[in-house]
Amino acid sequence: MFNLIQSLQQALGLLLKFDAEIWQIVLMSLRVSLASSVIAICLAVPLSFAITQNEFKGKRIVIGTVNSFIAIPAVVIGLVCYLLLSRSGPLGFWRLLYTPSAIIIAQTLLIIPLMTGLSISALQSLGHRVKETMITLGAGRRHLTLGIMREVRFAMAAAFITGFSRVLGETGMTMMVGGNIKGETRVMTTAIALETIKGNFELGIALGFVLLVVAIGINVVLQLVQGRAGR
Amino acid sequence: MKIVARNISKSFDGKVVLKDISLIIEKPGVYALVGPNGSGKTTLMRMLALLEKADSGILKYKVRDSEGYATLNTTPGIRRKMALIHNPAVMFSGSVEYNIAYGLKVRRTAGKIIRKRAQQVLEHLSLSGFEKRQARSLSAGEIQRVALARALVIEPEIIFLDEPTANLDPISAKLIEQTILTLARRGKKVILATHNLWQVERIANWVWFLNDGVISISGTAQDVLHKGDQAFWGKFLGRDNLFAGEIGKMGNRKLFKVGVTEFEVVTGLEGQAMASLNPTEIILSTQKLVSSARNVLEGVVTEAVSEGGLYKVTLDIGLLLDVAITKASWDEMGLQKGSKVYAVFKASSVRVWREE
Repeated sequence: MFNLIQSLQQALGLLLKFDAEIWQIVLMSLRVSLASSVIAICLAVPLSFAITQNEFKGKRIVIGTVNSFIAIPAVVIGLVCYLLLSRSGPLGFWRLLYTPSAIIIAQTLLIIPLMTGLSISALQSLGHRVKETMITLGAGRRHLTLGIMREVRFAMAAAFITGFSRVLGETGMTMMVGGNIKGETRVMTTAIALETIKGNFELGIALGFVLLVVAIGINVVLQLVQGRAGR
Repeated sequence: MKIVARNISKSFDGKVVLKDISLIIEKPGVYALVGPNGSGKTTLMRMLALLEKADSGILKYKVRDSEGYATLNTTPGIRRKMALIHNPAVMFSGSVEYNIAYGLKVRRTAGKIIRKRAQQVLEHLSLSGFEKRQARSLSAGEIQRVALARALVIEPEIIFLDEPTANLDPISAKLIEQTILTLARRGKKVILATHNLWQVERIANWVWFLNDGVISISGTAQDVLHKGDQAFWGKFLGRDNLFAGEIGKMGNRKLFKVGVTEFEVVTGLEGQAMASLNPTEIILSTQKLVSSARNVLEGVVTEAVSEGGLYKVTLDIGLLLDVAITKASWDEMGLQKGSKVYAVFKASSVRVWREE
């Protein structure tokens, strides 16, 4: 029968012994989540700039579409990525299914709308007067872009952290495109799910503890960043 | 730089905001755009500052060269000779120092020069020691002064100010007015959009009165405000303390009578006349003061409303008199509705004219 105290003790032992398997899984989680977050923010920021800083027909529809994409279930993105990357799929020749790259692609697609939506909100809340003040002080296009970026830097950082935290805790989609292969594509969430099903609670608890610490740490950083953004 | 606008018009969503506006800004001085809310003042200012495009008409920016004037055609080139300060002014996130240096940094000015110029302009606007303060944490008056400093440091030829002293405490407002006058004396052109007719009277050289998108009156401030239709100005712009009465002679003194109330004025007029009195030129006292001011009238506080950094106090002195005092003065005197006070003002502070 499951013994909570014993499992907790064993989990603590695994963490304190710096168990290689655990830390390999933790590092893989951080690696893919960080990579997808960096790629997503690099795409989301220019996209949000292009949408907010230009006037065009259908602008509101575009913003509405971006915001509604935030609600797409991760498992649907996982399914689409699976179909695209599977051997018989249109991108099967890349042979990326069940690799960390596949996880990164799926996670990136998952959080681009989220990061873009948050960046758009940040740029919209800045208001046109900041931009106009920069223009009247002589800023050209380059200085204007840099100046606006500087003004929304904390909000952009918050968008990055929110996206990172979203993909770090993602399970189903990661399992579908990554396959949860030991030593290859196993990340914290998929490992916890698997070990729990297998009854290896100590490994699950140890990873759950690390995930919890990282998630709380991210939230603390997010609060600090949002505090700065409010100034 | 000289600005020439000919027949410029602007509409928003089918509503005409400006119609056939023509004006020239050439000589150094203070130009005032006055008019009621929605008359198009801010839109006109934004168009002149190249933040808004005219739907029709010609807007030219000319610089003096050896053969007279040459037209400037590049928008960035023109913009770098101008500065606009919004109301309320916008601060960039970061320190006062960062804000002040912004315009010079985009001009690639050397750090040493930036520091020197920033220091000078901060001193001039009584902001020394504010360099490291967070700009957004400053008071409204300080923000307005930092915005002015940020604009002045780039040494623009033309400065646009939208309601520069609205909602400011009297000290900040006075400092900004003095700076505007100094700029005009140094050969700059200052264009301000304002509701404050008293301010226009104090500092403007030229006035454009905008109504429903057209310039209905224009001229020197002296002509428009002093010789024009004073009752119109008073009523249209909601000038406080506007009275219709009669001027009588008592010895070599002239008294303006409204019902049972009378006060001394300095004028050559006699008989039916209008009078107005700036609320900021009236002193309130809880005791009867002995001073050089010719008018000391006893009254009772009937109302007090906070307006920006000031308290607008209405007194019943036989007629209703508006007085503007600071919140600190209001608190120090311990005033409240029903308090007995004395309103003190100079005879020369009262403006009188004969209604046409």
